[in-house]
Amino acid sequence: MQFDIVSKVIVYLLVTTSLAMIGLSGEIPLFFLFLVAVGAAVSWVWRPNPTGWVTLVWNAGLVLILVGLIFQSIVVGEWLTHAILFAMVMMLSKLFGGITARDYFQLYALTFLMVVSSAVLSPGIEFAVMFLVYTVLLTWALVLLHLRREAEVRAEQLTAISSGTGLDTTPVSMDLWKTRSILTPRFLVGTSVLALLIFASSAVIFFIFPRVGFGFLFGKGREGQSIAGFSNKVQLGHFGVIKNNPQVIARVEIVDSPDGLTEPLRLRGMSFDHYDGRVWSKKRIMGENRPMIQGRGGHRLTYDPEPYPGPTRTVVQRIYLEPLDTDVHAVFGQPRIDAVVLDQSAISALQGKARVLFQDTLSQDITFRGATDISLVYDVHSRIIPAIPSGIDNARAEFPSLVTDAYLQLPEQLNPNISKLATTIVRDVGDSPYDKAAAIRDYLLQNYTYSLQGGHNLGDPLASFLFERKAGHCEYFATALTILLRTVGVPARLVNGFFGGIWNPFGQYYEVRQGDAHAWVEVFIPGAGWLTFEPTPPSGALGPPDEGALSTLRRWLDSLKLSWYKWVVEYDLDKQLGVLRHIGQSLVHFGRELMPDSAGVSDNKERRMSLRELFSSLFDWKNFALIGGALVVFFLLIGFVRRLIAFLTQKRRVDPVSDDVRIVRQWWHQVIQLSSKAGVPITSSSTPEDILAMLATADLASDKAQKIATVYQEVRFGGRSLRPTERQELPRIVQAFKKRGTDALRARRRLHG
Amino acid sequence: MTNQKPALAVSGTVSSFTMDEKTADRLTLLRTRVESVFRGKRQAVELVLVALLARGHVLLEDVPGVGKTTLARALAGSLDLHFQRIQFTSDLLPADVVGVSVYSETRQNFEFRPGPIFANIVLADEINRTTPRTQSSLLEAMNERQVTVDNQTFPLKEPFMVLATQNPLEFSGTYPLPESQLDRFLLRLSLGYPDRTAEVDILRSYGHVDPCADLTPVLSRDEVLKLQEQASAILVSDEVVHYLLDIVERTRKSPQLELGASTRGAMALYRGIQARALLLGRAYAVPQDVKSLCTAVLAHRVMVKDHGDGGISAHRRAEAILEELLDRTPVPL
Repeated sequence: MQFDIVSKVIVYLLVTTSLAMIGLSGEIPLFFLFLVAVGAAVSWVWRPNPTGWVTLVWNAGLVLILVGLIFQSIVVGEWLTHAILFAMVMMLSKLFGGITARDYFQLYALTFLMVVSSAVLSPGIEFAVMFLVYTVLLTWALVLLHLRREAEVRAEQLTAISSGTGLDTTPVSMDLWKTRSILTPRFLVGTSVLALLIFASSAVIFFIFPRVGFGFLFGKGREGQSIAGFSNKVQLGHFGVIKNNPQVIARVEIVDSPDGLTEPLRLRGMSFDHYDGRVWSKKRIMGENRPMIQGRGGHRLTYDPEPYPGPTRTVVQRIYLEPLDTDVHAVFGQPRIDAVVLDQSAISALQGKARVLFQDTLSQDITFRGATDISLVYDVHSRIIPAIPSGIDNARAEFPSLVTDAYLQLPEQLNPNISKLATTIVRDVGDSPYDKAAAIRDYLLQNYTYSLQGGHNLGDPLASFLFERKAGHCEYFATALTILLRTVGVPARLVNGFFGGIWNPFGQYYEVRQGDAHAWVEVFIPGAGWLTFEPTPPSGALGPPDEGALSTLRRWLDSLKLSWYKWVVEYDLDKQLGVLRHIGQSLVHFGRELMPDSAGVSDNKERRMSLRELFSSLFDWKNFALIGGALVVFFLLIGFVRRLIAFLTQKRRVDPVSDDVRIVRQWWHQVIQLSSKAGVPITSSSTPEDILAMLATADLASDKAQKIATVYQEVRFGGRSLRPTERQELPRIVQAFKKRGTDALRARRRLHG
Repeated sequence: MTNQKPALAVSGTVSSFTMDEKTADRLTLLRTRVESVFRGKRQAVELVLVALLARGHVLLEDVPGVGKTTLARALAGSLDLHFQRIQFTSDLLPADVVGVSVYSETRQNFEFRPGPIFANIVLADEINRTTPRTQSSLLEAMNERQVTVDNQTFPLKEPFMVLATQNPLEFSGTYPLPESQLDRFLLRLSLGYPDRTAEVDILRSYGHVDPCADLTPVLSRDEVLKLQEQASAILVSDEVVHYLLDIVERTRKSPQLELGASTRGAMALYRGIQARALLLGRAYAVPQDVKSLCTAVLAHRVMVKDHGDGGISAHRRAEAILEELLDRTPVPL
């Protein structure tokens, strides 16, 4: 391939990649991207030859655009977006104008600028893939740039020389190099390997280079999608469409339990106290801002534990929350939440506002206010209360006034049949609130079916569910249970959140999708606090189906996404220390395996393995062998890279020499090789005459060499062509010379050896 | 240059991609003739002949008595050319060199009486003994190949060659040639003492005889002019030109040199290698031509760092530096 075409193609590929990366971020208006792409395409085929005033107008236009963008970014903010816009305009300008190495370099710099900006804007794994492509392309481009620069300088020198001397030398054509076929597939493959090596080594540096706090480029997160499944209000009859939405909105890891939970995942979000016959809302808020305490692992907020008589266990969930488009962030977690821990990056992502979390002591909802469009990671410590609680004093039915004031509210025009139904259900149960709640829940579970066809009933949706359709989705069931309980004097509330999710075996976490949004009921049981009741039939509690080979692939990709997020975007000092500790531990383990003597030490002791022991284990001969092997591999690798570089950078002089010249050169080269082998001190500065003189003193066939040298010089420097007789005769002479030479060599060896 | 056909190539005969046998024979004869008189210094003879063929002048630099004059006379005697010798002294005037206009009473006008410079081969003995004014009149004539007296221009004879000698060890009452004048000379060389066998030979042969007495010319004036013509047509391939310029460039970049070779120096070298190729019977130049002429052509054209006096030691140093550069410049393969 010709140099000029290849470098052009690579420049445009670079531009395309950087535009695509910008496009991925979704920050730049699509029509603008489209315009720039069209402009780039036009510049491929049409490059104007700018005259003086065209350049002037063009530059003036650029300045105007710059001023406009600066003005707009002052007014609107979003300086980054405007900077990218200007970079794109500049890039287009360069594409239309540039031809020299300097212009190419500026183009690369602009694409790099865009890639860096898109790194700030889009932390997804797609970025990583594009970035790899970009790295390879950039390596190519830089190598080509270097060649171009060299060629330009060389061309200048040649013109200078031939114009200065007045000698009759044919100046090497200035543009000859542009059409030379320097770029073989070998070149491209070689540079790609180089690029990948660079990429790999920078990845290593990325992981081991000491981290300092949080990235300074943060402060601009991803755009959030509007999540319909979870919201601040629950309006009956408007739910249903989102049930099939498979978009993942959160990923949940269970810390210390890589296999997940024994019970289904339930992420409690918000509870509601007020029902007006159609809409659930939150009327009473009794809360306080609670400062977070900075401690080990981040900022921690601990709640006063609600009393529970029976045995419980604690789980810690690490929640990777996708951006939610709501103003109020609920802290999701398995009920009941004891503590929330936010690490430094989450705090900085919230721009400091989450240093206070808001806890509503009445509803136990935990919310924080902050930027609405950020993704967050936090740990939630929860106490899991068994599905069938134990140790509850059934007889007690006294409720605190705080609870009865808020959670016995009923809509003003409640269908009288509803309270009649409730009374009927609990007639045989007795006074225990728990038994009443269980009875109504079981009644709903047995007599009603799950259906997404909620419809838009303009009348009383609850009555129509209970007495006419007898089918509905989770919000109907939860509303029914809450209201029925309230009519019989048991405080209850509707809770919104997510339920179920899919276990991702690749990444060992739960994927929580929009379709997993769910509503259920919490009932106040004296002595045990608020307990969760699930009135919806099982089929309804499950999210959208997720089966088949395709979904396996999807799950694998999703786990990649989480790993990218965990290990690249969110990679911080903590994680780094963790990784290093892990490596250190496995090294110690390894050392222990190599040293059977110390195998018996206890766990505790093993952790406190002294430095001396570590050293002594390192100086085991096996370790020496291992380290030696590693060094050999390392140096081999270095050698390989050096050879690769040498291969890539070696001067490949493509002289337009004739076949004859090539042949005589070959002959002469053989003479030189053999003579060197025989100990004749030939250097690169030896002329044929020098060599012949040296051969004459050595015991070599200098007469034959003389003949070869004469033909060589006549063809090489005298510009004549080989005669047919010489074509036959000379190889024989060369052979004879070589034979004589090797004989002499052998004789000398015999003499000395 | 590659597309230029060698002007002297004769097709037909197998072994001669060289030149016509007659010319080659004549050149060999000339060379052996000069060598027969000036014994034991093949290299010096070769260089002087190169200068002749390249239309250049030579600066011989050595102590007295090593045969500078003999070399010049041997050269003149082997050629059917007019020889003149000018002994430079401190009271020599330009007119003594180029000639003078005298009033002729018979013809009632000024007549030009040509000076000793009107000869084919001029031996300018001990050039550094005369005043700069006289030196420059000679050097001007060397360069322009003509003499201007009283607004009248008289062309010098063709061929015209100056062999100037200079004693490097005498300093009192001398006027060393300035650097800028030195590069009027194509070559600067020192002869040195002959080796023992050659010296024995010289003593036995010429102990009592003038070595140049019975020399008969080998080449006529026209033949010399034709050879000079042929030398300028010798093929120099791109590779050799680049090799030459590589060396020149290295002199410019060398940290040991204050000033590298000029473009005029490169041109001189170019003409020199053509002449050497012709002398050795080739129709094309080879790298060896460059290598063997480089020091003689360039050493007096470069300026060595930290050698203020510019005397013979600086010249030796320049020669050493050039040899070193040659050893580091790769020869085209």
